[in-house]
Amino acid sequence: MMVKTEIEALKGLLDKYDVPYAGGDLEIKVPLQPWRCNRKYVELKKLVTSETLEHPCLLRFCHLTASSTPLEELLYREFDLAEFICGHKIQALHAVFTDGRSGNVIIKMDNGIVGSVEVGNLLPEGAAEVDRHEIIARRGVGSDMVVDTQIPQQSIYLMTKDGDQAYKDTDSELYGLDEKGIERIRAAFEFLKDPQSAAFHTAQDASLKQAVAAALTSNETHKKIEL
Amino acid sequence: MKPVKIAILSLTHGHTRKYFQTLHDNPALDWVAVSAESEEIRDVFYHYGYHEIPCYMSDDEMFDAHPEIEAVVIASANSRHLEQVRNCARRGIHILSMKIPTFDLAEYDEMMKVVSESGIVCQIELEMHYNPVVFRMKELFAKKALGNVASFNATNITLSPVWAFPWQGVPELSWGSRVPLREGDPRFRGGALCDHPHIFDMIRWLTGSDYEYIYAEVGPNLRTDIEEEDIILVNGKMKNGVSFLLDPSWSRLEERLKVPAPGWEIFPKRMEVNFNISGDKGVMLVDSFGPNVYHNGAPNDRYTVQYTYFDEWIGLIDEFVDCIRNHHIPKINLGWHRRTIEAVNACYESVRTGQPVYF
Repeated sequence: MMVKTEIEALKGLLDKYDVPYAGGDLEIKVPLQPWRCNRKYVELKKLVTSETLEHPCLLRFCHLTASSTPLEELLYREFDLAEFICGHKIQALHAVFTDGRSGNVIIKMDNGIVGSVEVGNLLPEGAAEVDRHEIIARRGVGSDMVVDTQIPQQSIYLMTKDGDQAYKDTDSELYGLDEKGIERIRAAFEFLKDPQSAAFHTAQDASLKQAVAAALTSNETHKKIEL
Repeated sequence: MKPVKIAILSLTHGHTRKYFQTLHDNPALDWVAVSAESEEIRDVFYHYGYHEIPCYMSDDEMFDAHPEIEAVVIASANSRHLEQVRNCARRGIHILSMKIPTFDLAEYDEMMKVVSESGIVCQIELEMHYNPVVFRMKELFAKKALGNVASFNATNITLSPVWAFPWQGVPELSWGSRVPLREGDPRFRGGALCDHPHIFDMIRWLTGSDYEYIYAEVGPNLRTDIEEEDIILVNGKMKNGVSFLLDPSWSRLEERLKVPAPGWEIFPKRMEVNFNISGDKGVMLVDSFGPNVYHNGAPNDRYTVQYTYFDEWIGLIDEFVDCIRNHHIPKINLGWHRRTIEAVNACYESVRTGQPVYF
């Protein structure tokens, strides 16, 4: 759900690029997968589709947040990113969680690629999220984390008497909004340019919800689940 | 707003290809045509897939065939800029100039005169002003987040483009004439320093101050087979007391490709513009082009930075269109930029004399 400033920013993009819309169109009911518009994931996908990375075999994904993000939400996002970046569907999974707050899933894609999806919401409130998406192929490794580091990099580090701050600004047209807000606006913008994509997003939503439910079931039953 | 009918001249500048997508996608622009300086360059242009754009073999042939052209991107060697500015001013065509209009200040002043007299818009392409990380820097400077700034260190270091854009390796075409770096040095002006004015501009913009003095020193070339400098360091002081160190070197090695393509870089990051700025309240570290996505895949299996967030040309073009349609003066205009050109010239003078140059 977009907040008021995000809706205003969306209107700005729609007006700038002459995309027709009515007021009601901005309340998008279709379940979008907004991270697909985040340029770092677009670039990772390009590494695969351009065959810069040849024959991916293994994914190593991680996403850690504070408790305000439910585990199901993290699983939904990371499962979708696996399918988006690889261009294949998750075929089977085996999940192990602790107290519904952290754990991991081994996924297998329909072309044989396997992946680990580590999720958790045990970071303290206010801590910066940690995420990593690594693709290991027969030729090359791609990642959104620079080699030999453990936390995502920022663009600016400010260390002053008033404390430390870090900033990552990536979108000049949407300057000042945070990364998740930019994802939501860009996804809504792309959807309003192409409303026909509703069928895809709706089907993908249903498929991802099934995968998330399967992960929870797998955790309870200690069984691999085929999707 | 009525789209601006625009063309690109020459297609020989290293930034040319960065305009292709913007001119193609931006609804505020109607991309009419291009002119190419040779058939080889025309073929490279069509290799990018824009077959619907007519390509002419001279500027005048293009202008005569398309009197509807309102604006151009002058994407040529520095040595051709004056004649093209004159031609555009005579025809009343607005100009988006590359980062170096000319290093010859007599030519520069003539450009200012013809632009002023013709009433056209002439915006200088200093794209860092439209970079979202720089937006944040400007905001932090405005808030005085660092208190009083004490020192300003900046890099604008890249690979060398001379193999893909040969004019940058020819002193007459880059610098404007064949001037030795200093007595007894076999190299000439026109290399890395001429390619990297951005940090010379940014320090003026961010500190709101002007140069007091500037000193420069060249090192031995990494590339022993080019006749211009590729390693150069600059330091000095601004009038408000800020000391600075600027590194505009071509200090990242490259594969000698004729057309830029994946695998061009040998060092993982082919281009960086970073800042370390200290003030009496603390320190700011800035990477204007980071973070990114990284890989070691095709074509060379080397660790490589895949530039991920790169949208400066959107804001730059937006301002250009706004200036044309609403009769505004671009913030980076010939008048503002002249001091930056003078600073680059002062670096060469310092290299020649071995001493700082005062403004």
